Amino acid sequence: MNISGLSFNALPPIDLPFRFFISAPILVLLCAGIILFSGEAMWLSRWHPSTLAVTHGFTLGFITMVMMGALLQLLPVIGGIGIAKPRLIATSCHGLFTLGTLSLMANFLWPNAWLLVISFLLLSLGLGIYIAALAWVLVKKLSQGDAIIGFRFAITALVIVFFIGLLLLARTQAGFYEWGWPTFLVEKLSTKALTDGHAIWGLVGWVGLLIISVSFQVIPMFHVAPSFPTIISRYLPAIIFLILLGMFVDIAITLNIIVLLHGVYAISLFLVIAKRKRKVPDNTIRYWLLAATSLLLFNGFYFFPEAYLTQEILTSKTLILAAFFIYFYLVSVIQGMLLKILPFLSYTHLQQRCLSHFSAMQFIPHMHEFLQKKHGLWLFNFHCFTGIVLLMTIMMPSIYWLLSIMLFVEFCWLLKLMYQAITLYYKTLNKIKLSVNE
Amino acid sequence: MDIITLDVSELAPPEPMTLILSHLAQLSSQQCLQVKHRRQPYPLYEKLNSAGFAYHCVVHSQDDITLYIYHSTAQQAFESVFDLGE
Repeated sequence: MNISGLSFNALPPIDLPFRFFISAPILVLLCAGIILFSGEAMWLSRWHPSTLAVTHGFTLGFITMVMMGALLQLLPVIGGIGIAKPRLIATSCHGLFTLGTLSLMANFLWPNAWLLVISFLLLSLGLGIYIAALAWVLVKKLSQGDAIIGFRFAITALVIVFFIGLLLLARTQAGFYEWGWPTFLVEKLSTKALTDGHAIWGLVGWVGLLIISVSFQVIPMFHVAPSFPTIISRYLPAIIFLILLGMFVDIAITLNIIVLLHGVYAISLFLVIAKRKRKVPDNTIRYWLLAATSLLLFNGFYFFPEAYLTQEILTSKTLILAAFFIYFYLVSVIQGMLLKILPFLSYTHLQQRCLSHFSAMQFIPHMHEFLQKKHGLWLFNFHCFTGIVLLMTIMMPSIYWLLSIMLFVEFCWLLKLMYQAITLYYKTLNKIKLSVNE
Repeated sequence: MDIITLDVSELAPPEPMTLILSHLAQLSSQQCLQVKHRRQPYPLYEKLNSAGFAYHCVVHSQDDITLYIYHSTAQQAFESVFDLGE
Protein backbone atom coordinates (compact mmCIF):
# COMPACT_ATOMS: atom_id res chain seq x y z
CA MET A 1 0.00 0.00 0.00
CA ASN A 2 1.36 3.37 -0.94
CA ILE A 3 0.12 6.28 1.10
CA SER A 4 2.49 8.95 -0.17
CA GLY A 5 1.03 12.39 -0.49
CA LEU A 6 -2.10 11.81 1.58
CA SER A 7 -3.07 14.88 3.55
CA PHE A 8 -3.31 14.01 7.21
CA ASN A 9 -5.33 16.02 9.62
CA ALA A 10 -3.04 17.65 12.18
CA LEU A 11 -2.81 16.38 15.73
CA PRO A 12 -5.21 18.57 17.70
CA PRO A 13 -3.50 21.25 19.81
CA ILE A 14 -2.30 19.69 23.06
CA ASP A 15 -4.40 21.95 25.29
CA LEU A 16 -7.56 20.25 23.97
CA PRO A 17 -6.94 16.76 25.41
CA PHE A 18 -5.25 18.33 28.45
CA ARG A 19 -8.43 20.14 29.50
CA PHE A 20 -10.33 16.82 29.53
CA PHE A 21 -7.52 15.16 31.52
CA ILE A 22 -7.32 17.98 34.09
CA SER A 23 -11.09 18.06 34.61
CA ALA A 24 -11.30 14.32 35.32
CA PRO A 25 -9.53 14.15 38.72
CA ILE A 26 -11.29 17.35 39.83
CA LEU A 27 -14.63 15.58 39.39
CA VAL A 28 -13.34 12.63 41.44
CA LEU A 29 -12.36 15.07 44.21
CA LEU A 30 -15.99 16.20 44.15
CA CYS A 31 -17.01 12.53 44.53
CA ALA A 32 -14.67 12.27 47.54
CA GLY A 33 -16.51 15.23 49.07
CA ILE A 34 -19.91 13.62 48.44
CA ILE A 35 -18.70 10.38 50.08
CA LEU A 36 -17.48 12.34 53.11
CA PHE A 37 -20.72 14.27 53.60
CA SER A 38 -23.11 11.39 52.79
CA GLY A 39 -21.92 9.18 55.63
CA GLU A 40 -22.65 5.48 55.93
CA ALA A 41 -26.11 5.57 54.37
CA MET A 42 -24.92 5.66 50.76
CA TRP A 43 -23.27 2.22 51.10
CA LEU A 44 -26.54 0.47 51.90
CA SER A 45 -28.01 0.55 48.38
CA ARG A 46 -26.94 1.26 44.82
CA TRP A 47 -30.12 3.35 44.47
CA HIS A 48 -29.09 5.83 47.16
CA PRO A 49 -28.91 9.38 45.65
CA SER A 50 -25.28 9.82 46.75
CA THR A 51 -24.33 6.40 45.30
CA LEU A 52 -25.87 7.42 41.97
CA ALA A 53 -24.10 10.80 42.08
CA VAL A 54 -20.70 9.21 42.87
CA THR A 55 -21.14 6.42 40.30
CA HIS A 56 -21.88 8.98 37.57
CA GLY A 57 -19.06 11.19 38.85
CA PHE A 58 -16.66 8.31 38.23
CA THR A 59 -18.13 6.90 35.02
CA LEU A 60 -18.91 10.20 33.28
CA GLY A 61 -16.66 12.62 35.15
CA PHE A 62 -13.49 10.54 35.22
CA ILE A 63 -13.66 7.55 32.87
CA THR A 64 -15.63 9.07 29.97
CA MET A 65 -13.94 12.47 30.40
CA VAL A 66 -10.43 10.98 30.01
CA MET A 67 -11.46 8.74 27.13
CA MET A 68 -13.04 11.69 25.29
CA GLY A 69 -9.77 13.59 25.56
CA ALA A 70 -7.61 10.57 24.71
CA LEU A 71 -9.62 9.71 21.58
CA LEU A 72 -8.99 13.20 20.20
CA GLN A 73 -5.29 12.31 20.07
CA LEU A 74 -5.48 8.58 19.50
CA LEU A 75 -7.49 8.77 16.27
CA PRO A 76 -4.87 10.81 14.39
CA VAL A 77 -2.06 8.61 15.75
CA ILE A 78 -3.78 5.27 15.11
CA GLY A 79 -6.06 6.02 12.19
CA GLY A 80 -4.22 8.90 10.58
CA ILE A 81 -7.10 11.34 10.72
CA GLY A 82 -8.63 13.52 13.41
CA ILE A 83 -11.95 15.26 13.94
CA ALA A 84 -12.82 18.36 11.93
CA LYS A 85 -12.61 21.78 13.65
CA PRO A 86 -11.01 20.22 16.76
CA ARG A 87 -10.84 23.43 18.82
CA LEU A 88 -14.49 24.30 18.32
CA ILE A 89 -15.71 20.73 18.86
CA ALA A 90 -13.48 19.92 21.85
CA THR A 91 -14.09 23.24 23.61
CA SER A 92 -17.86 23.09 23.25
CA CYS A 93 -18.09 19.35 24.09
CA HIS A 94 -15.83 19.71 27.11
CA GLY A 95 -17.81 22.64 28.53
CA LEU A 96 -21.22 21.13 27.87
CA PHE A 97 -20.22 17.66 29.09
CA THR A 98 -18.57 18.93 32.29
CA LEU A 99 -21.54 21.12 33.21
CA GLY A 100 -23.94 18.33 32.20
CA THR A 101 -22.16 15.83 34.47
CA LEU A 102 -22.15 18.31 37.36
CA SER A 103 -25.85 19.10 36.96
CA LEU A 104 -26.70 15.38 36.68
CA MET A 105 -24.81 14.67 39.92
CA ALA A 106 -26.58 17.62 41.55
CA ASN A 107 -29.92 16.32 40.28
CA PHE A 108 -29.32 12.96 41.98
CA LEU A 109 -28.52 14.72 45.26
CA TRP A 110 -31.22 17.40 45.10
CA PRO A 111 -33.88 16.16 42.61
CA ASN A 112 -35.28 19.14 40.79
CA ALA A 113 -37.09 19.55 37.47
CA TRP A 114 -34.81 22.40 36.36
CA LEU A 115 -31.62 20.50 37.13
CA LEU A 116 -33.03 17.51 35.26
CA VAL A 117 -33.84 19.55 32.15
CA ILE A 118 -30.45 21.33 32.29
CA SER A 119 -28.47 18.09 32.67
CA PHE A 120 -30.60 16.49 29.94
CA LEU A 121 -29.85 19.34 27.52
CA LEU A 122 -26.16 19.77 28.39
CA LEU A 123 -25.32 16.06 28.22
CA SER A 124 -27.38 15.64 25.02
CA LEU A 125 -25.52 18.47 23.33
CA GLY A 126 -22.07 17.65 24.75
CA LEU A 127 -22.17 13.94 23.98
CA GLY A 128 -24.23 14.40 20.81
CA ILE A 129 -21.73 16.78 19.20
CA TYR A 130 -18.82 14.57 20.28
CA ILE A 131 -20.41 11.38 18.94
CA ALA A 132 -21.30 13.10 15.65
CA ALA A 133 -17.74 14.45 15.24
CA LEU A 134 -16.22 11.05 15.98
CA ALA A 135 -18.72 9.19 13.80
CA TRP A 136 -17.77 11.50 10.92
CA VAL A 137 -14.18 10.23 11.28
CA LEU A 138 -15.00 6.60 11.99
CA VAL A 139 -17.26 6.10 8.95
CA LYS A 140 -14.50 7.36 6.68
CA LYS A 141 -12.26 4.84 5.03
CA LEU A 142 -9.33 5.45 7.30
CA SER A 143 -6.91 2.81 8.55
CA GLN A 144 -9.01 -0.32 9.07
CA GLY A 145 -7.07 -1.64 12.06
CA ASP A 146 -8.77 -3.78 14.68
CA ALA A 147 -8.65 -0.87 17.15
CA ILE A 148 -10.63 1.40 14.82
CA ILE A 149 -13.27 -1.30 14.27
CA GLY A 150 -13.57 -1.65 18.08
CA PHE A 151 -13.94 2.14 18.43
CA ARG A 152 -16.98 1.96 16.14
CA PHE A 153 -18.66 -0.59 18.40
CA ALA A 154 -17.79 1.48 21.49
CA ILE A 155 -19.25 4.68 20.02
CA THR A 156 -22.42 2.78 19.00
CA ALA A 157 -22.65 1.48 22.57
CA LEU A 158 -22.31 5.05 23.88
CA VAL A 159 -25.30 6.08 21.77
CA ILE A 160 -27.31 3.19 23.28
CA VAL A 161 -26.21 4.08 26.85
CA PHE A 162 -27.11 7.68 26.26
CA PHE A 163 -30.64 6.92 25.02
CA ILE A 164 -31.34 4.46 27.85
CA GLY A 165 -30.12 7.15 30.28
CA LEU A 166 -32.43 9.74 28.73
CA LEU A 167 -35.34 7.30 28.99
CA LEU A 168 -34.54 6.69 32.66
CA LEU A 169 -34.41 10.42 33.37
CA ALA A 170 -37.71 10.92 31.53
CA ARG A 171 -39.32 8.15 33.62
CA THR A 172 -38.66 10.10 36.79
CA GLN A 173 -40.97 12.87 35.56
CA ALA A 174 -44.62 13.09 36.52
CA GLY A 175 -46.81 12.48 33.51
CA PHE A 176 -44.17 10.33 31.75
CA TYR A 177 -46.65 7.57 31.09
CA GLU A 178 -49.02 9.95 29.34
CA TRP A 179 -46.39 11.04 26.83
CA GLY A 180 -47.47 8.41 24.32
CA TRP A 181 -44.41 6.11 24.49
CA PRO A 182 -44.56 2.83 22.56
CA THR A 183 -46.28 0.24 24.79
CA PHE A 184 -43.26 -2.10 25.03
CA LEU A 185 -41.09 0.68 26.49
CA VAL A 186 -43.54 1.20 29.31
CA GLU A 187 -44.73 -2.35 29.96
CA LYS A 188 -41.89 -4.71 29.00
CA LEU A 189 -38.91 -2.75 30.22
CA SER A 190 -39.04 -2.10 33.95
CA THR A 191 -36.99 0.70 35.45
CA LYS A 192 -34.66 -1.93 36.93
CA ALA A 193 -34.16 -3.62 33.55
CA LEU A 194 -33.40 -0.26 31.99
CA THR A 195 -31.01 0.68 34.82
CA ASP A 196 -29.18 -2.64 34.43
CA GLY A 197 -29.07 -2.10 30.67
CA HIS A 198 -27.78 1.45 31.10
CA ALA A 199 -25.05 0.32 33.52
CA ILE A 200 -23.95 -2.73 31.52
CA TRP A 201 -23.97 -1.01 28.12
CA GLY A 202 -22.04 1.87 29.70
CA LEU A 203 -19.43 -0.15 31.58
CA VAL A 204 -19.01 -3.09 29.19
CA GLY A 205 -20.15 -1.59 25.89
CA TRP A 206 -18.84 1.96 25.88
CA VAL A 207 -15.86 2.02 28.25
CA GLY A 208 -15.03 -1.70 28.18
CA LEU A 209 -14.99 -2.02 24.39
CA LEU A 210 -13.04 1.21 24.07
CA ILE A 211 -10.39 0.05 26.54
CA ILE A 212 -10.11 -3.40 24.93
CA SER A 213 -9.76 -1.81 21.48
CA VAL A 214 -7.24 0.76 22.66
CA SER A 215 -5.18 -2.00 24.32
CA PHE A 216 -4.81 -3.79 20.95
CA GLN A 217 -2.95 -0.71 19.74
CA VAL A 218 -1.20 0.82 22.74
CA ILE A 219 0.25 -2.29 24.43
CA PRO A 220 2.17 -3.49 21.34
CA MET A 221 3.11 0.13 20.52
CA PHE A 222 4.23 1.49 23.89
CA HIS A 223 5.62 -1.71 25.36
CA VAL A 224 7.13 -3.34 22.25
CA ALA A 225 4.97 -6.38 22.76
CA PRO A 226 3.60 -8.72 20.08
CA SER A 227 0.17 -7.98 18.64
CA PHE A 228 -2.80 -9.61 20.37
CA PRO A 229 -3.84 -12.96 18.86
CA THR A 230 -5.90 -12.22 15.74
CA ILE A 231 -8.88 -14.18 17.07
CA ILE A 232 -9.00 -11.78 20.04
CA SER A 233 -8.27 -8.48 18.32
CA ARG A 234 -10.49 -9.12 15.32
CA TYR A 235 -13.48 -10.81 16.89
CA LEU A 236 -13.68 -10.07 20.65
CA PRO A 237 -15.17 -6.53 20.42
CA ALA A 238 -17.74 -7.68 17.83
CA ILE A 239 -18.70 -10.75 19.91
CA ILE A 240 -19.08 -8.71 23.11
CA PHE A 241 -21.21 -6.15 21.27
CA LEU A 242 -23.47 -8.82 19.75
CA ILE A 243 -23.88 -10.60 23.08
CA LEU A 244 -24.75 -7.30 24.76
CA LEU A 245 -27.63 -6.97 22.31
CA GLY A 246 -29.04 -10.15 23.82
CA MET A 247 -29.27 -8.72 27.31
CA PHE A 248 -32.83 -7.52 26.87
CA VAL A 249 -33.82 -11.15 26.13
CA ASP A 250 -31.98 -12.95 28.95
CA ILE A 251 -29.78 -10.85 31.18
CA ALA A 252 -28.40 -13.74 33.27
CA ILE A 253 -27.02 -15.74 30.33
CA THR A 254 -25.73 -12.55 28.69
CA LEU A 255 -23.84 -11.55 31.83
CA ASN A 256 -22.32 -15.02 32.28
CA ILE A 257 -20.90 -14.98 28.76
CA ILE A 258 -19.71 -11.36 29.06
CA VAL A 259 -17.88 -12.14 32.32
CA LEU A 260 -16.22 -15.22 30.79
CA LEU A 261 -15.16 -13.25 27.71
CA HIS A 262 -13.50 -10.69 29.97
CA GLY A 263 -11.64 -13.56 31.63
CA VAL A 264 -10.40 -14.62 28.18
CA TYR A 265 -9.34 -11.05 27.47
CA ALA A 266 -7.47 -10.91 30.81
CA ILE A 267 -5.54 -14.08 29.97
CA SER A 268 -4.60 -12.73 26.52
CA LEU A 269 -3.49 -9.50 28.24
CA PHE A 270 -1.17 -11.49 30.52
CA LEU A 271 0.23 -13.45 27.56
CA VAL A 272 0.92 -10.38 25.41
CA ILE A 273 2.51 -8.49 28.32
CA ALA A 274 4.66 -11.53 29.21
CA LYS A 275 6.00 -11.64 25.63
CA ARG A 276 7.07 -8.00 25.43
CA LYS A 277 10.60 -7.57 24.20
CA ARG A 278 11.90 -5.05 26.72
CA LYS A 279 10.89 -6.14 30.20
CA VAL A 280 11.79 -2.87 31.91
CA PRO A 281 9.87 -1.93 35.10
CA ASP A 282 6.99 0.26 33.99
CA ASN A 283 4.12 1.74 35.97
CA THR A 284 1.64 1.48 33.08
CA ILE A 285 2.42 -2.25 32.83
CA ARG A 286 1.74 -2.54 36.59
CA TYR A 287 -1.68 -0.97 35.99
CA TRP A 288 -2.44 -3.35 33.08
CA LEU A 289 -1.43 -6.34 35.23
CA LEU A 290 -3.60 -5.06 38.09
CA ALA A 291 -6.52 -4.67 35.67
CA ALA A 292 -6.04 -8.19 34.25
CA THR A 293 -5.75 -9.70 37.75
CA SER A 294 -8.92 -7.85 38.78
CA LEU A 295 -10.83 -9.28 35.81
CA LEU A 296 -9.79 -12.81 36.80
CA LEU A 297 -10.76 -12.18 40.44
CA PHE A 298 -14.03 -10.73 39.16
CA ASN A 299 -14.62 -14.00 37.27
CA GLY A 300 -13.80 -16.07 40.35
CA PHE A 301 -16.09 -14.06 42.61
CA TYR A 302 -18.91 -13.84 40.06
CA PHE A 303 -19.06 -17.63 39.54
CA PHE A 304 -18.28 -18.60 43.17
CA PRO A 305 -21.17 -20.71 44.52
CA GLU A 306 -23.37 -18.38 46.57
CA ALA A 307 -24.06 -21.16 49.10
CA TYR A 308 -20.50 -20.68 50.39
CA LEU A 309 -20.77 -16.89 50.77
CA THR A 310 -21.80 -15.23 54.01
CA GLN A 311 -25.01 -13.19 54.10
CA GLU A 312 -23.01 -9.94 54.44
CA ILE A 313 -21.00 -10.68 51.32
CA LEU A 314 -24.10 -11.81 49.41
CA THR A 315 -25.88 -8.56 50.28
CA SER A 316 -22.96 -6.53 48.98
CA LYS A 317 -22.13 -8.76 46.00
CA THR A 318 -23.30 -6.26 43.34
CA LEU A 319 -21.35 -3.41 44.93
CA ILE A 320 -18.22 -5.57 45.28
CA LEU A 321 -18.43 -6.64 41.62
CA ALA A 322 -18.97 -3.01 40.57
CA ALA A 323 -15.93 -1.97 42.64
CA PHE A 324 -13.79 -4.63 40.96
CA PHE A 325 -14.93 -3.69 37.47
CA ILE A 326 -15.00 0.09 37.80
CA TYR A 327 -12.15 0.78 40.22
CA PHE A 328 -9.72 -2.08 39.81
CA TYR A 329 -10.23 -2.61 36.07
CA LEU A 330 -11.49 0.53 34.30
CA VAL A 331 -9.96 3.24 36.52
CA SER A 332 -6.67 1.28 36.72
CA VAL A 333 -6.33 1.10 32.94
CA ILE A 334 -7.21 4.77 32.54
CA GLN A 335 -4.73 5.93 35.19
CA GLY A 336 -2.06 3.70 33.66
CA MET A 337 -2.71 5.14 30.22
CA LEU A 338 -2.59 8.69 31.59
CA LEU A 339 0.86 7.97 33.04
CA LYS A 340 1.98 6.92 29.56
CA ILE A 341 0.22 9.40 27.29
CA LEU A 342 0.77 12.59 29.32
CA PRO A 343 4.58 12.54 28.87
CA PHE A 344 4.28 10.98 25.41
CA LEU A 345 1.93 13.67 24.10
CA SER A 346 4.01 16.45 25.65
CA TYR A 347 7.18 15.04 24.10
CA THR A 348 5.60 14.32 20.68
CA HIS A 349 4.06 17.79 20.35
CA LEU A 350 7.37 19.41 21.24
CA GLN A 351 9.25 17.14 18.84
CA GLN A 352 6.95 18.18 16.03
CA ARG A 353 7.81 21.79 16.71
CA CYS A 354 11.44 20.95 16.06
CA LEU A 355 10.98 19.25 12.70
CA SER A 356 11.74 22.47 10.83
CA HIS A 357 14.35 23.56 13.40
CA PHE A 358 16.33 20.49 14.39
CA SER A 359 18.66 22.52 16.62
CA ALA A 360 15.75 23.21 19.01
CA MET A 361 15.62 19.49 19.89
CA GLN A 362 18.25 20.21 22.55
CA PHE A 363 15.60 21.98 24.65
CA ILE A 364 13.29 18.96 24.91
CA PRO A 365 13.72 17.22 28.28
CA HIS A 366 13.90 13.45 28.54
CA MET A 367 10.40 11.95 28.46
CA HIS A 368 10.71 10.72 32.06
CA GLU A 369 11.20 14.31 33.24
CA PHE A 370 7.61 15.09 32.28
CA LEU A 371 6.45 12.42 34.70
CA GLN A 372 8.99 10.76 36.94
CA LYS A 373 8.76 7.00 37.35
CA LYS A 374 8.88 7.12 41.16
CA HIS A 375 5.98 9.60 41.19
CA GLY A 376 3.98 7.28 38.95
CA LEU A 377 4.75 4.39 41.31
CA TRP A 378 3.38 6.41 44.25
CA LEU A 379 0.18 6.96 42.29
CA PHE A 380 -0.06 3.21 41.66
CA ASN A 381 0.44 2.49 45.38
CA PHE A 382 -2.18 5.10 46.33
CA HIS A 383 -4.55 3.53 43.81
CA CYS A 384 -4.09 0.00 45.21
CA PHE A 385 -4.59 1.20 48.77
CA THR A 386 -7.68 3.24 47.86
CA GLY A 387 -9.12 0.18 46.10
CA ILE A 388 -8.62 -1.98 49.18
CA VAL A 389 -10.23 0.72 51.35
CA LEU A 390 -13.16 0.84 48.87
CA LEU A 391 -13.76 -2.92 49.30
CA MET A 392 -13.48 -2.53 53.09
CA THR A 393 -15.96 0.38 53.04
CA ILE A 394 -18.51 -1.72 51.14
CA MET A 395 -18.29 -4.31 53.96
CA MET A 396 -17.83 -1.77 56.80
CA PRO A 397 -19.53 1.50 55.76
CA SER A 398 -18.39 3.21 58.97
CA ILE A 399 -14.91 3.77 57.45
CA TYR A 400 -16.34 5.86 54.59
CA TRP A 401 -14.23 8.79 55.81
CA LEU A 402 -11.01 6.85 55.13
CA LEU A 403 -12.13 6.17 51.57
CA SER A 404 -12.89 9.85 51.10
CA ILE A 405 -9.43 10.82 52.38
CA MET A 406 -7.69 8.22 50.19
CA LEU A 407 -9.58 9.34 47.08
CA PHE A 408 -8.59 12.90 47.92
CA VAL A 409 -4.92 11.94 48.31
CA GLU A 410 -4.80 9.77 45.18
CA PHE A 411 -6.50 12.19 42.82
CA CYS A 412 -4.74 15.29 44.22
CA TRP A 413 -1.51 13.46 43.47
CA LEU A 414 -2.69 12.68 39.93
CA LEU A 415 -3.62 16.33 39.50
CA LYS A 416 -0.17 17.38 40.71
CA LEU A 417 1.54 15.03 38.22
CA MET A 418 -0.59 16.46 35.41
CA TYR A 419 0.21 20.02 36.46
CA GLN A 420 3.97 19.24 36.49
CA ALA A 421 3.88 17.67 33.01
CA ILE A 422 1.84 20.52 31.53
CA THR A 423 4.01 23.21 33.16
CA LEU A 424 7.19 21.59 31.81
CA TYR A 425 5.58 21.35 28.37
CA TYR A 426 4.82 25.09 28.22
CA LYS A 427 8.22 26.07 29.65
CA THR A 428 9.96 23.99 26.98
CA LEU A 429 7.66 25.32 24.27
CA ASN A 430 8.63 28.88 25.19
CA LYS A 431 12.32 27.99 24.97
CA ILE A 432 11.80 26.45 21.53
CA LYS A 433 9.80 29.47 20.33
CA LEU A 434 12.48 31.87 21.55
CA SER A 435 15.25 29.84 19.90
CA VAL A 436 13.53 29.90 16.49
CA ASN A 437 12.22 33.48 16.96
CA GLU A 438 8.57 32.52 16.47
CA MET B 1 20.92 8.28 -4.33
CA ASP B 2 22.39 6.78 -1.15
CA ILE B 3 20.05 4.76 1.05
CA ILE B 4 20.54 5.08 4.80
CA THR B 5 18.80 2.34 6.75
CA LEU B 6 17.28 2.67 10.19
CA ASP B 7 15.40 0.00 12.15
CA VAL B 8 13.07 1.38 14.84
CA SER B 9 10.71 -1.59 14.90
CA GLU B 10 11.79 -2.75 18.35
CA LEU B 11 11.80 0.65 20.03
CA ALA B 12 9.10 2.17 22.24
CA PRO B 13 7.72 5.67 21.56
CA PRO B 14 9.05 8.30 21.42
CA GLU B 15 12.42 6.74 20.51
CA PRO B 16 11.47 5.95 16.89
CA MET B 17 10.52 9.57 16.23
CA THR B 18 13.64 10.85 18.04
CA LEU B 19 15.94 8.63 15.97
CA ILE B 20 14.17 9.48 12.72
CA LEU B 21 14.44 13.21 13.43
CA SER B 22 18.11 13.00 14.36
CA HIS B 23 18.79 11.15 11.09
CA LEU B 24 16.75 13.69 9.10
CA ALA B 25 18.82 16.49 10.60
CA GLN B 26 21.88 14.92 8.91
CA LEU B 27 20.18 13.82 5.68
CA SER B 28 21.62 15.40 2.54
CA SER B 29 19.60 15.96 -0.64
CA GLN B 30 21.38 13.00 -2.24
CA GLN B 31 20.33 10.62 0.49
CA CYS B 32 17.17 8.71 1.35
CA LEU B 33 16.33 7.44 4.81
CA GLN B 34 14.83 3.94 4.75
CA VAL B 35 13.03 3.22 8.04
CA LYS B 36 11.78 -0.16 9.24
CA HIS B 37 8.84 0.53 11.56
CA ARG B 38 6.02 -1.43 13.25
CA ARG B 39 3.30 1.11 12.54
CA GLN B 40 2.57 4.12 10.39
CA PRO B 41 3.99 7.24 12.10
CA TYR B 42 1.02 9.42 11.11
CA PRO B 43 2.02 12.41 13.29
CA LEU B 44 5.36 12.48 11.46
CA TYR B 45 3.73 12.45 8.02
CA GLU B 46 1.80 15.65 8.58
CA LYS B 47 4.96 17.59 9.36
CA LEU B 48 7.33 16.11 6.78
CA ASN B 49 5.93 17.98 3.79
CA SER B 50 5.98 21.36 5.52
CA ALA B 51 9.58 20.68 6.60
CA GLY B 52 10.66 20.13 2.98
CA PHE B 53 10.67 16.34 2.96
CA ALA B 54 8.74 13.82 0.90
CA TYR B 55 7.97 10.25 1.90
CA HIS B 56 6.85 6.95 0.51
CA CYS B 57 5.46 4.15 2.65
CA VAL B 58 5.25 0.46 1.83
CA VAL B 59 2.99 -1.57 4.14
CA HIS B 60 4.10 -5.22 4.26
CA SER B 61 1.68 -6.24 7.01
CA GLN B 62 -0.22 -4.65 9.90
CA ASP B 63 2.94 -4.41 12.01
CA ASP B 64 5.66 -4.23 9.39
CA ILE B 65 6.16 -1.17 7.21
CA THR B 66 9.06 0.42 5.36
CA LEU B 67 9.20 4.18 5.12
CA TYR B 68 11.38 6.13 2.69
CA ILE B 69 12.04 9.79 3.53
CA TYR B 70 14.00 12.19 1.33
CA HIS B 71 14.23 15.88 0.49
CA SER B 72 11.34 17.03 -1.71
CA THR B 73 13.86 18.29 -4.24
CA ALA B 74 15.13 14.72 -4.70
CA GLN B 75 11.78 13.34 -5.87
CA GLN B 76 13.05 12.36 -9.33
CA ALA B 77 16.19 10.73 -7.98
CA PHE B 78 14.13 8.77 -5.47
CA GLU B 79 11.64 7.58 -8.10
CA SER B 80 14.40 6.28 -10.31
CA VAL B 81 16.00 4.37 -7.42
CA PHE B 82 12.71 3.11 -6.03
CA ASP B 83 11.51 1.87 -9.43
CA LEU B 84 14.77 -0.02 -9.82
CA GLY B 85 14.34 -1.45 -6.35
CA GLU B 86 10.80 -2.70 -7.05
